[in-house]
Amino acid sequence: MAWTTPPTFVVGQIPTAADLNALLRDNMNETIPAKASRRSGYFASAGTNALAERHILRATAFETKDMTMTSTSFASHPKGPSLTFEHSGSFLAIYSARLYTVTGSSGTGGWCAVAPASSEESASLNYSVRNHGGDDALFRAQAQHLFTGHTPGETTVELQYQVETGTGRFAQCELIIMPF
Amino acid sequence: MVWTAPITFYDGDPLTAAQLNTFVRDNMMETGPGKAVRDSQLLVTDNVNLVSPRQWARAIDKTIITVDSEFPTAEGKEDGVDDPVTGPTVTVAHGGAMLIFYDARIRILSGDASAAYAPVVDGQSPENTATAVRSDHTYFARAGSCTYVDLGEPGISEVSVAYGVLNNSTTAQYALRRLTVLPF
Repeated sequence: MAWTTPPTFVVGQIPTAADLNALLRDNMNETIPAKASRRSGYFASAGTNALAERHILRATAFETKDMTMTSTSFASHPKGPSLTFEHSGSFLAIYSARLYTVTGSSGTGGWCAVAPASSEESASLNYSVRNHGGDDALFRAQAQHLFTGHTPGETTVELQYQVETGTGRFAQCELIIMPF
Repeated sequence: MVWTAPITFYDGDPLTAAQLNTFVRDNMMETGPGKAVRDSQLLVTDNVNLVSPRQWARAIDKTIITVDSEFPTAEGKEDGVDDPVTGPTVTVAHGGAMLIFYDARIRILSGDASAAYAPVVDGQSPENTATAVRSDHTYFARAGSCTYVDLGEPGISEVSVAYGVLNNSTTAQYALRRLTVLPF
């Protein structure tokens, strides 16, 4: 079914069965209560006159992960965390992790970073959470990034990791996705 | 009222008052504008064909607290650890889940272990330090995090923040503590 723009009735006009089916059946079936399927969801627009039910998702990778990297780009970890979900083109990623660089001391060692990557957008240092080594050991940092302009449909987002030099230690990583 | 799936109309069938009351009046009252009772609420799904308004909750405690008690994990609580220092606290009606944002200025006042704080829901201590914000800094720095809790059942919950240190010879301080909860 699809939403139909309601017509303007005029005096003397008798609504037909087709009118009633379009306005009282089909349009009603496009409203939120008709589409609600389970608890704790919310609705986002999915185009002109279209709504879609969405749910927040959460994934964690609590174990400690040591990553020694020589690349200058972000890399995945087998533990993730990652989430696959439906959206209408945008979604909010909220992510946090405890992290520090095992090698090097505060201010002189390399940094390590965590950021989300989607199937259409690479992880970026611009919105990563970062830390160095030394006294800041396993400091928790949290950030959020609104992904926009994606192709509506199913997307996978995962946390990825980068270390400037040496070994980064990452723990208690959490990824929350609020799709729109 | 409850939502009733609209029927199919046929030519020649008269539209009755009962049909109008069910499919226009009652169903309209189940839509977002029919449910909204005040400003700034979020309309969420509560079940099949059921929508409910939810209210953000936020609390700020500006006082500085000094804590030297052990971080209140569930394991520690079983061992008879005293109730943790908590606050600020909010009470929210929810459909089973909530998004919790928490932040504070945090520092170590003495000792060499970590300061830690984490949200608690209905007095349940965190299972571990997984969602805790921790710091070893000796200077105040603001740090926060966010977690999503799914209790599985709708209800009214008290959400607070619990504080502690990860070594009881350490003393930590927390200031300008903020808690924001978005129930779903």
